[in-house]
Amino acid sequence: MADPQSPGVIRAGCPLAAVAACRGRMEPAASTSPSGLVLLFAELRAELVRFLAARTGSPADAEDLAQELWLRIQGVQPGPIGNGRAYLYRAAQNLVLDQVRERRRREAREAHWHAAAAASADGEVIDSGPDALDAMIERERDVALARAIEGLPEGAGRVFRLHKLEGLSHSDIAARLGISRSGVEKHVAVAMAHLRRAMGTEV
Amino acid sequence: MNDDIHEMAAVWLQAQARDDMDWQAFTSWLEADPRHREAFDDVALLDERVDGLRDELARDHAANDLDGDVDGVAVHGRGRLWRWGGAAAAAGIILAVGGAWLSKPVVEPVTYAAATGVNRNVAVADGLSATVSGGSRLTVRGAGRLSLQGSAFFDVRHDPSRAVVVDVSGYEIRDVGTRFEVASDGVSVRVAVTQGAVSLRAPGSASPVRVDAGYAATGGADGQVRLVRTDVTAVGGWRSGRFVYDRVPLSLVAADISRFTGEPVRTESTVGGQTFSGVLARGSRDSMVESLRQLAGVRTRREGDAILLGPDPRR
Repeated sequence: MADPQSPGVIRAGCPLAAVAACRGRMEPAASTSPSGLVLLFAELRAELVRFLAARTGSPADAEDLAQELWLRIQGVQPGPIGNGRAYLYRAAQNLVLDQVRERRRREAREAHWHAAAAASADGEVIDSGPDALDAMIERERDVALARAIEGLPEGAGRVFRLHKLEGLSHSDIAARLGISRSGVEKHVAVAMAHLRRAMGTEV
Repeated sequence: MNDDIHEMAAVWLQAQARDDMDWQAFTSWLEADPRHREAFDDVALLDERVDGLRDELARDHAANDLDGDVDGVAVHGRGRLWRWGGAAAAAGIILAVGGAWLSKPVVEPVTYAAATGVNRNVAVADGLSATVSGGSRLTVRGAGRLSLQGSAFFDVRHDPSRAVVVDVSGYEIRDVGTRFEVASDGVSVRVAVTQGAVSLRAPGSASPVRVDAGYAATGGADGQVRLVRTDVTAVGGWRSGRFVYDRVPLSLVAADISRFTGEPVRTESTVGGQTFSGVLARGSRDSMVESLRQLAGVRTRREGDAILLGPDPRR
């Protein structure tokens, strides 16, 4: 069920107003007011749509998502928003990611559904529980991911763990290890590419 | 897809934490090659997955540090995830249901109770609505999981991305797009399907029974499921003021009357499984029981507050 208005429904993403806090990527500071955000959106609309089109590969989706973004920022409660432009881009980014996540989940479920339907061709017995299967697949992926993290190459793995598991910032790690900040980013990126290869596309 | 593209994607992902992120350069990078977009999707979702596991992984990590591996790099001990992985390998696939430590956040259940004698229409979610019969309760536990006490009629629009599961009397009804009615009395259940198909799984059973449109399945306390043909026009008739039965166990008919009137009606075990076909008009408990007595040929007697249906000695 995908209706966020309904009771009892787990929504995959974060409410947009809370999206930055949810993802831990928003530095609060005071400048742009909510109405300022709407004005800024109008000013940046063309570049946001271009970004969304590049991000989704679909100009039509880009228009829909821009509309969605505009609607969502109407509801943003008054409060400090540091960099309005970055906020809008990150919010747009999160809308795309919600869509991608939902699409991949749907594809996985459809594949499962077809498999279950084929298994019930005798018309008597149908599937024994996609929810349980979903949960099992999720857990297997988590275990595979934990193994892949264990198997990371030494340098990249160390930086990756400090950043992702211990929660140190890029600059903290740079200071601690005596390397540049971009060096830290590079290590984390190498680790991510390793993990991606270890996990295949099924993330 | 090669690692270089994913590395670049991961660099872009990290850069977004910075207020000086060059979003237009990122846009240009995405536009340069459609593979960039997919690589970014992969990396961003992977990043989310790592974040979701952080607490668990950090616990493993810390445990390893305590083992003397200060950098947490060289040799890793076996934390909780690993024990789970080993157990999963040993026990096959059964573990999906176990351990709650990785469970997703649970939405508070919402219960819709229909007052005695009044049916309640509930829009559970987009494409899923239910009519809960008077005196019944429907609880929505999120993610398509419902539980029912009493009777309800469900209308589920087909959507391959979801399944709707109704827990009732220990049975499990699973559906992906149909119209069906459920009646229950706590131990037995009857599912009648007017459109599409559902599966009905008995408590403790591994193999569900498929119930197609035009059929009704009755599951008793013994876990046995019986299929009968049913007249689809009769299904859900109680929504418009008539209780229409087509070979329905008397225990479920009695449960309907109890719920609808708010006054108890029970069956003796000797007749509870006897089936009834016929129509009862909505009314007081006494008038509904009287109709049932005549139509079903049972004897009625009072026992405290309740009316008890038993075998007619003359038959």
